[in-house]
Amino acid sequence: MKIDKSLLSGSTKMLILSLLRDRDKYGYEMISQLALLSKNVFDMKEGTLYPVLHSLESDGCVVSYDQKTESGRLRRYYRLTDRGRLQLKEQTDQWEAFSGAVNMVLRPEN
Amino acid sequence: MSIYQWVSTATGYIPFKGDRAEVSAELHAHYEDHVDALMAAGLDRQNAELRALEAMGDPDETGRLLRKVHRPWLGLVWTLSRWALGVAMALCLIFWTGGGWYGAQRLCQGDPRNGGAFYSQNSPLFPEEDRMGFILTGRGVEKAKAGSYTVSVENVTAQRMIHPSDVPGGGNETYDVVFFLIKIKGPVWLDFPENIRWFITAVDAGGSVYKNDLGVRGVKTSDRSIAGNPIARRLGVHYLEMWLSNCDAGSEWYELRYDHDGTSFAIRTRYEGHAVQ
Repeated sequence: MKIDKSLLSGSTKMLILSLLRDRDKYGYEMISQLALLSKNVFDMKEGTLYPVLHSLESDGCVVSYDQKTESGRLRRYYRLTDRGRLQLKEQTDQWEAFSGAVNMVLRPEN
Repeated sequence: MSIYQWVSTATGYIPFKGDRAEVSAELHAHYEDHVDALMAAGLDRQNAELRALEAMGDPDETGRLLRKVHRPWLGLVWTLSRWALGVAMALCLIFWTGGGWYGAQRLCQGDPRNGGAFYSQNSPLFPEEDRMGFILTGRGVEKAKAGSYTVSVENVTAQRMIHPSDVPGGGNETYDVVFFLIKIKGPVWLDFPENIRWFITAVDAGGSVYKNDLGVRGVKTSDRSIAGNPIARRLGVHYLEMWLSNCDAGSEWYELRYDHDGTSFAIRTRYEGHAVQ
């Protein structure tokens, strides 16, 4: 199912931060995992991932470092910082309150 | 469109050119990762590249988003800060290791082991009728604590001064002066305590006492005296030069003494080859 892009744009940063919660990842790994976990609902254009990552880095929510693969390719990994972890928690709380309220309005019988 | 054109278009929006290379490398790596994954899933290279390029999206849209993040003033600040740091480190290195321009020049000139060009008796730089010559050199043997500072004597040098007499027909006058190069080390945040020179006195092995007469170097007085000047100032390490006038240049040792305002120290020095008593 394709969804309205505007629904995704507000929560892109939260989704990316949540992907880094367990371990450091590089860009393509994040895109793949996002598609897998959302069953291809979040089909963002891959190039647009990087402005979001760079913005999170300039905000201090993630830090990056380069690492070479066995084949010699240089990959940039991103790591969640304490500030990023805090922001993820705040945004997750907001999202849960928001989505709960939307559900209550959409399905009042529940 | 090739991936090179795609990346070039997207990164062309970044105003700070210094950021473009890193972002280009990252976007290229992403594309290559995707191509590898598609080929591992069974696609041939040509189709994998087409699919991976399509998945990158619109380069203009990505470029506009990148432009918002990579602001030129941030890059400028970063570049300037790196330059400022480099210049600051270079200056620290010069002044830390060299004692500053003046100090480095002065110490080099005055060191007999470096030829002592300025003081050398045979130096063509010095007027023939107004010469000084080294007669003995030596070094300090002790360090002393003075508050937060450590004071030591780097070298002691006896020089024979030969001056034309002020009296007409008086010929040349000869007398000896003993110079001390005093090193003062302290925390970098503390200033050069150059005024300690006004309160330093000296004693030689014969018991003669040299007091500060606030005199000027080279002035021959009838009294035994000690005077000095700051000669090099740098972060945490400073140098004073002090000298004894009308002294016994053959004394086996000299002791520099300081006792003022609750702080005191004494440092004994000797010439090379002389025993310390």
